[in-house]
Amino acid sequence: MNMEGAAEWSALSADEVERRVTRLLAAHAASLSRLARAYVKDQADRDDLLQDIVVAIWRALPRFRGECSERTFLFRIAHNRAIAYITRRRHHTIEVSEEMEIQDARPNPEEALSSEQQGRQLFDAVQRLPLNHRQTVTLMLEGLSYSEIADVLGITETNVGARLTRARQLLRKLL
Amino acid sequence: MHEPDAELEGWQRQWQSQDAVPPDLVTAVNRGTRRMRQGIVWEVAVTVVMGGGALAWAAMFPRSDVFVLSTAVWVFIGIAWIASTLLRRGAWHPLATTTAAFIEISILRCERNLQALWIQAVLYVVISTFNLVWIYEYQARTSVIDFLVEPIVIGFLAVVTPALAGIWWWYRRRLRREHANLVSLREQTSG
Repeated sequence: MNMEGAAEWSALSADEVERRVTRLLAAHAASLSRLARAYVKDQADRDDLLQDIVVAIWRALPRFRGECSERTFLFRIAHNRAIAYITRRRHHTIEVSEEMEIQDARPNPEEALSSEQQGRQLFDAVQRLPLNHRQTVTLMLEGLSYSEIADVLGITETNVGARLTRARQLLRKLL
Repeated sequence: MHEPDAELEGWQRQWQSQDAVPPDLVTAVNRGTRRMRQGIVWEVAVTVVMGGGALAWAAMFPRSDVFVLSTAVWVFIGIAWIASTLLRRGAWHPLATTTAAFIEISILRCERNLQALWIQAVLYVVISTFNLVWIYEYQARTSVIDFLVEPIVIGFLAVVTPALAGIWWWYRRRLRREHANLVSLREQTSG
């Protein structure tokens, strides 16, 4: 850990917090938005969740002492707020259980999907994954390493590897 | 040497190409943090007004009935604060904890909130009973029966109390549903 970085974070005025949050959002807003989309289908609900995440980051920032990377800090908060959000809703995303037979949803191979369509298809597939796989996959797709994913979720790297292996099998069936 | 994973890299490209962000996000954050500060001020203001008001009233009108009421106000405030502190122990919610720890603490907080509902219900009955007895002993000039059929008493017992009970029951159902969802999430994420 960079001790100078830790000292820098530990004494933040309100204006500094606002500047830090603005800087963090400029760098990571798209990632947070994609993560919200992985948990919630409806656009209005996604916007609510995203604002919830950002407010939580704002509240947590003054207590951040650099004990993990900035990205780990953000993704922990984002996943935690997403969990809090979906547990308070009566209905949340219908998930594919691992035992269900998954119909081959792949399109006719002769039809080339646009990049935009492929992206939407990937999001739809991720939204249908069981929660433990969905959490791991979204972090993998954001480019986090096994150790970073383990750090965010509070599980071992071995567990991360096992979840990702199974998640990829499910994604291949859904895509 | 690490072999390139073409499938994963392809998925990552598709995933990260989706980057729509609400344009007013920072504005919404400013609004949200202002609301948070207002909420904290409101909680303190209610305690100060009720407790401070009771003290001021006792100082201005040094009578036995006023003394009894202001003492009771502070006793009830004390009981509420003690219960709140005890229920919060071990349930501090660091926002940036790991997801696994977050789910555990959320379950604990849900259970504590359910306990708090029962404490609030008991306190409501005790405080309401005290208030009715105090009003009858120090303010009413009628028999018990005539006192109980006064419009304001009937309104309180037959309208206000059932309405609050209905809200209590609705909130308790919502908390139980949230608890069940969290326990289910814990089972899903433990694999």
